[in-house]
Amino acid sequence: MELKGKEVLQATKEQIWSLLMDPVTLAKITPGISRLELVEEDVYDAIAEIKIGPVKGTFGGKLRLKDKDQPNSFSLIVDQKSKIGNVNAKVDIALDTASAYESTISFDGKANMSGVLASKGARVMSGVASSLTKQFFAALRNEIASTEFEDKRSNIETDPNIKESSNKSTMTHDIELIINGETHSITVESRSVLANVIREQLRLTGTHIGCDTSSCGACTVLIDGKAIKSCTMLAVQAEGLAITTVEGLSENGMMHPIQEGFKEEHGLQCGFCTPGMMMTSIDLLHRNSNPNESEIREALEGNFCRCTGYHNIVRAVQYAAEKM
Amino acid sequence: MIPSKFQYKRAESVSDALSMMSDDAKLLAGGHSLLPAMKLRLNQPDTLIDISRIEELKSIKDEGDHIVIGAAATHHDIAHSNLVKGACSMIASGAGQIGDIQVRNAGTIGGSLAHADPAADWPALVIAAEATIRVQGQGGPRDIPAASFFTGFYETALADDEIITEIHIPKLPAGSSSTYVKFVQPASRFAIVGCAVVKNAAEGEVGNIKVAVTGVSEMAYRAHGVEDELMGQVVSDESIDRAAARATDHVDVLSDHYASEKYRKHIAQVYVRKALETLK
Amino acid sequence: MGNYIGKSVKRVEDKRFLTGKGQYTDDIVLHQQTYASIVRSPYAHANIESIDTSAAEKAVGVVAVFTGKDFADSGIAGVPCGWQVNFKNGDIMKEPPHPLLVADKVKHLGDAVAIVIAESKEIARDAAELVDVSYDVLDSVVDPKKAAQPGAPLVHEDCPNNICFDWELGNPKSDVNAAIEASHHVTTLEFVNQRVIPNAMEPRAAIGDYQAAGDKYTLYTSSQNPHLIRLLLCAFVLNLPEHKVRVVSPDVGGGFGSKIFHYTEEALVIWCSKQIGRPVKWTSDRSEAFITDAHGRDHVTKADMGFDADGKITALRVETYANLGAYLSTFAPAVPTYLHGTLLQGLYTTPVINVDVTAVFTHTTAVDAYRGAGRPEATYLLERMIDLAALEMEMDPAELRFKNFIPAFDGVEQEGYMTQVALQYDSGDYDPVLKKALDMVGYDDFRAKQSALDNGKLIGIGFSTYIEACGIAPSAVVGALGARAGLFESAQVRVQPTGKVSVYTGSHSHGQGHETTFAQVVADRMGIPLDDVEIVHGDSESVAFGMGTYGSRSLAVGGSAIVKSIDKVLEKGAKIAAHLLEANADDLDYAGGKWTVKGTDKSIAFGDVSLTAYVPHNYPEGLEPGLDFSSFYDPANFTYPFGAHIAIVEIDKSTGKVELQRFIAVDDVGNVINPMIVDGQIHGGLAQGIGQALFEGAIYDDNGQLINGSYMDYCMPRADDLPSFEIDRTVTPCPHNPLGVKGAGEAGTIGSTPAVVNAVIDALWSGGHKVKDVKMPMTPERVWSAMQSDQA
Ligand SMILES: Cc1cc2nc3c(=O)[nH]c(=O)nc-3n(C[C@H](O)[C@H](O)[C@H](O)COP(=O)(O)OP(=O)(O)OC[C@H]3O[C@@H](n4cnc5c(N)ncnc54)[C@H](O)[C@@H]3O)c2cc1C
Ligand code: FES
Ligand code: FES
Repeated sequence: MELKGKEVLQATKEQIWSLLMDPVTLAKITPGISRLELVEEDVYDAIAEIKIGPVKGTFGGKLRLKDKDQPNSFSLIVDQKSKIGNVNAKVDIALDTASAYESTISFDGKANMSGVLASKGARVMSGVASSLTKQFFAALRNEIASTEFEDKRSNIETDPNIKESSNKSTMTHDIELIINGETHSITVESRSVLANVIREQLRLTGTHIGCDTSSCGACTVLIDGKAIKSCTMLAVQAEGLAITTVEGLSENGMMHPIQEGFKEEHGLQCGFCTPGMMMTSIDLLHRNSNPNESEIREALEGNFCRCTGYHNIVRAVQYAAEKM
Repeated sequence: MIPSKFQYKRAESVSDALSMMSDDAKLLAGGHSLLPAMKLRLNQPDTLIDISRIEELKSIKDEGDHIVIGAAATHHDIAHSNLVKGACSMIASGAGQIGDIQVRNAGTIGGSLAHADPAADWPALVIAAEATIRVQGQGGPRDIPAASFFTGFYETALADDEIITEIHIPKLPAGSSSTYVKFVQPASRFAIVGCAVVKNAAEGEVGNIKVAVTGVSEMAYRAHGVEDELMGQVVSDESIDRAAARATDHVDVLSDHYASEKYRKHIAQVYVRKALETLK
Repeated sequence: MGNYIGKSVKRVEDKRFLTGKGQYTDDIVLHQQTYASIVRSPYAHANIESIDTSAAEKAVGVVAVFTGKDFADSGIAGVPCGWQVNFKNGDIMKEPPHPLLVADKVKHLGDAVAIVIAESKEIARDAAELVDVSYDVLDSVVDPKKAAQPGAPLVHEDCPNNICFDWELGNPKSDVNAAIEASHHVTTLEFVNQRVIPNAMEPRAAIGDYQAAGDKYTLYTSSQNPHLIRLLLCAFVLNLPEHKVRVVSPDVGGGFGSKIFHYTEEALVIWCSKQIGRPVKWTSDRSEAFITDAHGRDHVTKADMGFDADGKITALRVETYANLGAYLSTFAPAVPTYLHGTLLQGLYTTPVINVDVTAVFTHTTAVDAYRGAGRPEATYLLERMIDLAALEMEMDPAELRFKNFIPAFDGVEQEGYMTQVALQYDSGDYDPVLKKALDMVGYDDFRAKQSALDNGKLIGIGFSTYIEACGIAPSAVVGALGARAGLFESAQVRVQPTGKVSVYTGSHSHGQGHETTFAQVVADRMGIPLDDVEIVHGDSESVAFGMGTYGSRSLAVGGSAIVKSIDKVLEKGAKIAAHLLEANADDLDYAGGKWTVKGTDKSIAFGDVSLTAYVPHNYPEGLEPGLDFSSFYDPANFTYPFGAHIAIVEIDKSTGKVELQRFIAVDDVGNVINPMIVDGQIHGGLAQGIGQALFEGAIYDDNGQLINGSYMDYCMPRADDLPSFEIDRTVTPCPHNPLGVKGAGEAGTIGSTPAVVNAVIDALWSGGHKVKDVKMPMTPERVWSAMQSDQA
């Protein structure tokens, strides 16, 4: 991730320098910093809470200032670890006089992310750099506006109440799940997603899990007749709703038309995507009893199949449409 | 993948939900933005407050000169509502372009607005429709115009202890038109560019065209440059060309591995043009 | 042919899948089972400074935590490589260890450093977060060409320039250089055959179950070849007694190559199960799958193809850097060499060919066989070159191909075609496939439409005429080429006393429908109803041996082994029948499930004979009771399917977005047992090949982070990205196996990718954008950029 930018600020180089070298200020203006402690010359222990959109993490690690050339330039080296991934960055910061009261600050560097953050957060992280730098400059501007410049160097904690990882009691719930017309009384954890409960607790393993981003549709079940990705719903949310899984499709040993269609038209190979495919198809056929090819293809956009190339799946749905 | 532990509470009403709100609690509506992030452990709230069963949040109502969509109405319900189609057709057609069937069956308009994904569809739709977003906090309700609801990258004017309850969408008079076009990122199917355009017939043959763009910058925006270009102009190939060229005026254009800044900017112009052409 | 062969019999296996009763590895729950979560490196290259497992160990519900040190201490080196390729100078390839858990230095994103075993999935996952690993991050390299340059960061310290081996095949380089120099026209192309991620929909899973009573080990694993896993696991990794080890591959949700290999997790769960005395299950998340399933392709190539003035190919020169990833996966060395270089003759009479391959380690996930394995890379190269040559020389791409095709030969009357790159093709007749495809597409009409087009779109047509080598493989041949295993197949045909037939095959089915196709062969050959046949596969306890399913080998090799056993059954059956009919065995005919004395109506049914075999009261003297035969079949040669694929695309000039409008495929896979299933294999193959052309590609940043490691970023084709396919076939039987079949699993993937890319290039040229290449996947931005940069 490139970090690059340039801003004009209403202060002299020396004034900006003094702000940036002051841990109190630095902590205040750096987005997310909840604690900054000088541990040795130019080395800080830092804790930062970063929250951007769906991503939230507590980072801990070191900030280092290097190659200081007062008041012209320095490098900032960041090594921060978190459960969601690590950030390593090096940014070169340069100050330049623009006029008697103005200076430019420019920075140029690179931040490397690793772990989940890098591989899953890409959509989010692309905008993070600009967002964080904007916050930083806004804060720096504020700080400049409100500072009478003098030297104040100390160790601080901006937020004395750093959150202890709060007490996460295991909440469980006794619920009734109505699956394929049968009521099951079970106890689930708050965090159990419906797909896991169906598979692991109720041992209905026809519902599959093929991804962790709600993309593949292998876990699709019907809830009150609508196709739902059961990996993206908490089991406790499904309490009392009518759930249909693939195991509930055939009645009295008679295959549902969609099952027949998949068999007759060879709409399945390895069978892994098939239950989800059938569930989504049923939702489609309920609202459109005679879909054309492109309507079928569009309706199945939330279901991956890696085996069939979808060709025969389209035919399977058409077959079922005729029969239903 | 399994989220970290949290407590789950189901709210029966808006006031119930408000009373449950706390520092590290999050509202859970359709769950289609929140749960994927939690499963990857990119987010680990302490408590989830489920608002998906609050009936008062799910309705779609006619209130004279505008319609009211409950925050917990799903994309699917909105896409298929005749009331919505009649009031402002792009709201329905735009909702129908979100994700896939399953996502539309679960995801909600309120959740999407609160989430403020820079590539989401709703932000452009509500901005162009000049919708008002009603939110409720401890101190009662307040109305936020869509144009000032989005404040940054995944950021909104919503306070931590507020709930979106309703989205008010003005009805377009007969003869008006509205459209939403979207160029998708082929893996996620979110918008690389989404463009919503409304032309209000009440305001004469020319003038008052509203254009909003999503996917392009850190937040959806009203494309004032485009609108200015069309102000007082008959919509023609020439005016459309001039207007589309200003699709990304004054915004920082995002860049990622699927669409560079240059390309995204180009696509923004192409899609603004595409949307405007439907008005001819 | 009989009642079943050649008919689209509906699949026997479907019922269980359609009713949710399929049983994939993760569906299995064993008594007392525990759950494993693996702690993986977030860095591509780093020294492990310390691992602190104390917090994880203390967590409630955690059973055990192991790290690389535990394995190093017990002397377990890691998983082996199954194929050896030597350097040009004869030195043995570099074969660095691939540990089950890394103790010192991680070498790719996702390298495993610790395993946490707990009472539940949730606890294991939570505790894995508590394992604190300190890393000292090092520079990494992800591009194979860059990795081979001096000074690049080293993946393995004892492997200079990261080169695992270099390799050459074909005519002497000097001859090829001279022929290129002397050519009338030379087409040169530098390109990347990008890395793709197989993405079988079922993520990998494994359960290890050690039973101390009896000292028995059972491994359930989502594998394409359970016996091979058992062999490698026992003989090379954990040093276990093979007869005490059972490996079961139950239903497997797609493989496409990625489930051939022996993965570290399989050994891990077995070893851990023995340590804790309970079963251990590991199921991959999709996120983990993205960074641990072996990837495919990843070649950086430069090629020159020479032509004479008439358009005849005069020479081909190829230089490739093949990315192996950080470790050698099971068959990795074979893919860029013997499955790639040997196919560079293609369908053409090219007189001299030289291919030079440098295989390189990088800080990335291991690369190995992915549907087609090496052959798609070869086909992509040839077919891109010839289409580009046609554009450059202003010749018709179809004509240019006809001009260069090898003349027809059936492998019986006419000898097989001897290539310049070691292989001898079995049988082939290449004109008809292309002719048929051209008819189907309406070629002349298309060209007329193309030049008349004026609607903001460009349309293009792309060809690919491919050959591949499958039915893998003659053991002696592959042995000479470095394979550390034979590639035969086994089959047992057990006739039950009542005449029902159980067939045990070493070919594993994970979508290919063996349970149906094989049963069709058995039922027809034995003249019995399909319902009387049961195909059993996937369990080393019931199936004697097997080399598994890959390289489109199941029917050609596994099916042939079944035929051999059937022949033995019928031969013995004839003896029993002759005895019962009081005739001479030579005077009997077998048809329709009964033996008949020639020229009479005296006959005896199969069921009566089988009953007699098990109740041998009235029985030929000296003959053993029972009717149960095993066979091993080792093919005489590879089989060589071929075909012609044509893509028609439309490009939106304003966005660069490519729409695949039509895809025509005429394939010749030899004889066809079940057309419905073969068509299905072609469809699926096409989708994957098209996926590579337009949508898929792993993106690593310079730090070795896979930045599109999820379905939100890695674009797999969906239903609405593809058209319905127009497919047909010709039939040129394979002369050297009893069924005359060639194999259909990979053909679709091998042929389709270049057809799509060629179509896009054709469209661009028709619009005046004379670009040689657009990188795959051909995203809208790339195509749009091509139109900007070359405004001809
Ligand atoms: C595979 C997939 C594809 C998708 N494709 C698209 C797409 O193409 N276009 C698109 O726009 N979106 C897309 N989405 C996102 C989808 O539209 C989500 O449904 C939506 O963004 C969030 O709505 P939700 O109801 O699911 O919210 P949730 O996930 O429940 O919540 C999201 C956030 O909003 C908060 N919240 C929820 N409701 C309220 C409320 N009433 N008041 C205040 N805060 C609230 C929550 O606390 C949370 O922070 C996709 C999602 C998936 C999984
Ligand atoms: S597992 Fe639910 S969408 Fe993939
Ligand atoms: S049949 Fe295998 S994924 Fe669809």
